Amino acid sequence: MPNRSIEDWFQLYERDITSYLIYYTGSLDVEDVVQETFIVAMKKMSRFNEQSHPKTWLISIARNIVIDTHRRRKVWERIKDLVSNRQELSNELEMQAIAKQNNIQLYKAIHRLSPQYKEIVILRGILELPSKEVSEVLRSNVNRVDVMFHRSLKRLRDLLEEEGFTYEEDEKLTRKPKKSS
Amino acid sequence: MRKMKSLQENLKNLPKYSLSENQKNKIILALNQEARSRKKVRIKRPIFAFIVISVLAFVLIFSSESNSWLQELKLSFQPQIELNATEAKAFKNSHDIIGIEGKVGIFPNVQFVAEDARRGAKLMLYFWGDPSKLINKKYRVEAVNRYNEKINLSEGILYSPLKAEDAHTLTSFSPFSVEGKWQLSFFIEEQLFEEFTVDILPPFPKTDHYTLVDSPTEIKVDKEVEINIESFAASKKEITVQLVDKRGNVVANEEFVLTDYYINASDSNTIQIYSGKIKFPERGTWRLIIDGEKTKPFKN
Repeated sequence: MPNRSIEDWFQLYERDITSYLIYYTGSLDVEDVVQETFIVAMKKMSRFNEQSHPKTWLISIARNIVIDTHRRRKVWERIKDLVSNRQELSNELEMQAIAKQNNIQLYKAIHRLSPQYKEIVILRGILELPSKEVSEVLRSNVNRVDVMFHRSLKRLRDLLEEEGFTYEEDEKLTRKPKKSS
Repeated sequence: MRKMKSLQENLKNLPKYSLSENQKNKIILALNQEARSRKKVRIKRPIFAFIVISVLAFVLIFSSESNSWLQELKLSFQPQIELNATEAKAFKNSHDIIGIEGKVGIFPNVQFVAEDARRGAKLMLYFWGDPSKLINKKYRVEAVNRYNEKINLSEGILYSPLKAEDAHTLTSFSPFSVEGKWQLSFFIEEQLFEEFTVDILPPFPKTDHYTLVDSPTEIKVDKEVEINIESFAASKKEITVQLVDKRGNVVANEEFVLTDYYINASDSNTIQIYSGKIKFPERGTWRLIIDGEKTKPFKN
């Protein structure tokens, strides 16, 4: 029975988990983490709380895996950054592949947000999870999620404006000509 | 505001991603493999658990400790007998009696509590039938529960009627050892006269020095109710009584005052009685902390 439902869940929520991981890690290479997420879910199935949504639960698992891996890699990353600056270049290329041309500025701005704001923008803004489910993933409360989301949107808008972008009447993100001083 | 809305709209419209069909198939394959290997472990696990439980049960049943839960566990392994007598009913015969109308009854109509001698003290037994086969005859009341535990509750001689019955006696019952259903058999000259069953409540919650003398199951919930606590050692005028829920939270904190005392006839010890009001918010599992001493968890 758990075996059957994990495969059903995979069919139902793979897109959400993949999208979450791509935006959260800023990398397209998320296949391994997606697989690990569902294997961990299968092992922990007996601990699944029926009251929470499977999608929320799966996102929490994916998030924990990323955080754990990040923690383990942290030391290595510090050394690697000192040795080469190729990382930045590949990130830039990947960003373009992820966000497509017209959204690249928005995508870049999201990645300039603080980790907390970035997470909330991905979960609430991009994946459109309800505040309650976001609060479950982040182990926070609904009010705090709402406040944080509002602040993160403001910060995102400011970042875009710093780069000279603004929303015009047609609701499209366009670059304002910079005033010459 | 409008800007924010547009921004939110743009976020929503950012592309969503899915793995390629090839990648998805690989993951499904990996999930199936994992499930199969887990199944193998799962078959072995119950066998292992069964062995562990059997060993534990063996140790517990034959160990000589006298914990009440252990007793209960031991009892649950004992062969059970069927109690097939009818249930006692309350009836009126100048006053409230419990038993089988027209045959045998106990006055007052009392709810007995396990391990308690108070409610079994001073009982009147009434018999109805051929007076010549009752008066001045030997009687005996025996109780048996479904684990075949037997208690001799009372024995003696029957006397001529006081009121509308055909024979009577004044007596006290020995305490019932455990709660649950007990069958009471009334013998006259060792011949079975009548039998019926009664339900016995769990023992009163108690600590080393204090005993609650109201049964929690009889106390109304969500209402402040006056209850009594007995003590044979305390000499304080006031004691603190706290009600604790099963998570350990104190839900009531009350002062109980010394209201009465009496001397126990069996051991001539002085017993103090403390009274106070307490509110059980609902039915559940609770503990009392009486003057700093904890009772075992009990249900109301």
